[in-house]
Amino acid sequence: MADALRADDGDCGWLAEGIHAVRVGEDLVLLDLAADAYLCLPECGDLRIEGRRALGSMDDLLRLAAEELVHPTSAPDDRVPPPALQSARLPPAPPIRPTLRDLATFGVIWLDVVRRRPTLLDLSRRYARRRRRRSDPDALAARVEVFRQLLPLAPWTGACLLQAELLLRFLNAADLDADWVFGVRTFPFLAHCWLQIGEQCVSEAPETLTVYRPIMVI
Amino acid sequence: MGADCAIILVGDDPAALDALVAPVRQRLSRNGWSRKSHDPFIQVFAPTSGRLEVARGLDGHGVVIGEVYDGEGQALPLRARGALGCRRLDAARARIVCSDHWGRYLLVRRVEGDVAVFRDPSGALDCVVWRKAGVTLISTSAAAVIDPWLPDGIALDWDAVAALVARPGEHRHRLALTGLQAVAGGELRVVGEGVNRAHQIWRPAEVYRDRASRPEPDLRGTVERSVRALAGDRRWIAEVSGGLDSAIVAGVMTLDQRRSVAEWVNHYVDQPEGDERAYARAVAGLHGFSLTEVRRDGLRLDAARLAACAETFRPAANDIDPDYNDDIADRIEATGGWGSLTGQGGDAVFFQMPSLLIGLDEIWERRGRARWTVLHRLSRWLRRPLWPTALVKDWREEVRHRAGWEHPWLDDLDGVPPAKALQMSALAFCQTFQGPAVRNRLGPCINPLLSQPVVEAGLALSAVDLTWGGRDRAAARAAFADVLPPSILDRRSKGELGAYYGGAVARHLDFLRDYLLGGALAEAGLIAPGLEDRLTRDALLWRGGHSHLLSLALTEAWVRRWRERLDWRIP
Repeated sequence: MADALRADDGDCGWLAEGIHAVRVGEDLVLLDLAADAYLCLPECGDLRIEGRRALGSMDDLLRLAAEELVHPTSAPDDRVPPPALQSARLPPAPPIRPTLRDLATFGVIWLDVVRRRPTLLDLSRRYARRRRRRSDPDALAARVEVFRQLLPLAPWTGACLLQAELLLRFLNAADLDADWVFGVRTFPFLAHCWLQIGEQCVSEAPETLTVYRPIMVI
Repeated sequence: MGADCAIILVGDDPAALDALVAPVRQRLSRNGWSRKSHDPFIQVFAPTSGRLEVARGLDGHGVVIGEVYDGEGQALPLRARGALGCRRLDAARARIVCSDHWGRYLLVRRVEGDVAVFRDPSGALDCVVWRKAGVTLISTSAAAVIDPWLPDGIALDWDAVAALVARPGEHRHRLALTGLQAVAGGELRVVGEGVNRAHQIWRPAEVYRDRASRPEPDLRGTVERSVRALAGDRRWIAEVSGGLDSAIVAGVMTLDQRRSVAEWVNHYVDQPEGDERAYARAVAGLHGFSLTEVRRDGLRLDAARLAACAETFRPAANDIDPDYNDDIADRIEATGGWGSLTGQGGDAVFFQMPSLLIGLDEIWERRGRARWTVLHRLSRWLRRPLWPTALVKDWREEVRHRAGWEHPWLDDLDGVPPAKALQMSALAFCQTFQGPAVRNRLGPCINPLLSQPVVEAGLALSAVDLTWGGRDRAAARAAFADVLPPSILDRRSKGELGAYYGGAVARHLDFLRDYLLGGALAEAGLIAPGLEDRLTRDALLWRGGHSHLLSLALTEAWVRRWRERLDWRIP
């Protein structure tokens, strides 16, 4: 395995299918979609992640390879790279109230989303190939404002995963879209997800997210 | 030695007092302490370089230590403080003192052979009392120099130590030393031969319950008066964390007061979530001062360092970051500053806690007139359902949580709605910030937002008003909007130092493992079997717990230090 890692592309490995990773301080956090679990490689030296490539010392790469998290042969780097943390807010929302149609749309989406208990792999597959939609920050701000007014009406609002999916579906229903970003922090470990477009934060105030390092985007 | 150290001795008769003092005078003097006040029945000792003012009662039977202000924020001159100390001190009188004055003070008075002690409601000065050989002793400090005066038979109370270990880092009013009695902020304690009575004169719940009989609190005016009174014309090291509360303190100081600040200090770390310089610079830019930016780099953690924090009546929860505190103390020394000014306490007073319980307060306070919009905005802020099931769930959790409340301020919560009670428990926890720390060794740490008038204003406003529109500290944001930079006014986050501290503690795990698993707490069987598993980088990284480990280490240091001190006393 060591020879293969070195012979193929210097001290470089390729993250296995369904494995996403990000460096957080001295540690490497990995997301294994197939196992629907996060892993951590503490004190990972100078190991770094570039797209799907893991670069670092042979010892560190072998630690990953031993867990079957990287393999030595190159793989197509077809992933959307995790974005930089957003720094801008959406434009101010206009004064707007939900209509009955909005309420019905929200209700249908909520019922559909809460009845499933999807894994991250399910979500990744379901939403990765959604079609392109219009880009209109003002319309987006208005829909997000309507969504925020409707969310408290739901009997159960869950955590960020459910709320981000609800919002994404609600935006899609209005022919709008955003990136669904997953981030992690350590000490203690927490995973969070949110919606953003470029540097613009859609689902929350950007300064609340500085503690997270993006690991995957759908 | 700390700037706020003092010990007051009140004899049942002058002979008893002299007999107790005489053998210890040389020891005090060798340790830099001197007599600050001397009457036949009362003597006060403090570090010669200490900051506490001592005003002897004009008739020699009372004393006031610390600073006292009137309702307008005017400092009482020495003579007026002396007059306070020479009136009979009973519950009625303590109520009057408490309602007409505020500050950072202890008021002590001989009453019919006993000693009445009133601690100001802010708890700015620590207060522990005990009896020894016909003398009542009242101390703000557990400095080792007072060891010969500690009560005979003093010992560690291992049940109380176990409670400290069970919840390290929390403020516990009850002391883990037998023979010593802690006096709470706003408490009148009467002590004498066979007498030990407590009367809680000031309670947060009473401030809330009496709010209808008082004028609507003026948050802006109250904070301005308190900050300006406490800042006075002294030279300060002022903290500018980048958060709302320290920005408010900086914003309400007068121009002259801001000019006489020796240094405006911001501590930052490399992790972006703990680097709040951009916000702090905005405060500096708005008010035209320059900022001293201090980069943090790990923690120094060893047995000697922890022991230096252990000369206290309680484990030094306020010293959880001694490097930070050392830096402030060094700056006080280098600049000749009087002490340090902080924004601590603002989270509790202005209500930072995001909680659905605020909705219950709306229903509790307005009954059938509860406003749908308030409940909806609250649910929107917290992204929680508006449905009653969510409220009931949170209320049940809160009831469970209350089992751990043990401060005298929280004994009587009749008529107090849940979010307001939560605020009161947060204020009780904030007594930690009023406690001793190494940063106070040369100059006191002043927390104006925990002063009595500011706390009372925060308590008198309903939690709904404090978070109006579904925003933490909304009333404070509105009241101080013109003295805050927009970036702080609009800010939704707080600085986060978990990764910084977690990484720093992880670098000291070898030391902590030996220190905690082979220490006095382990010897007493108080270390949980699972602790060893938590002393790994993996565990810290996944589960966190750095503050638990640091607090436990401070408790261990405290127990070791007191064991050592008490052993030396045994002939």
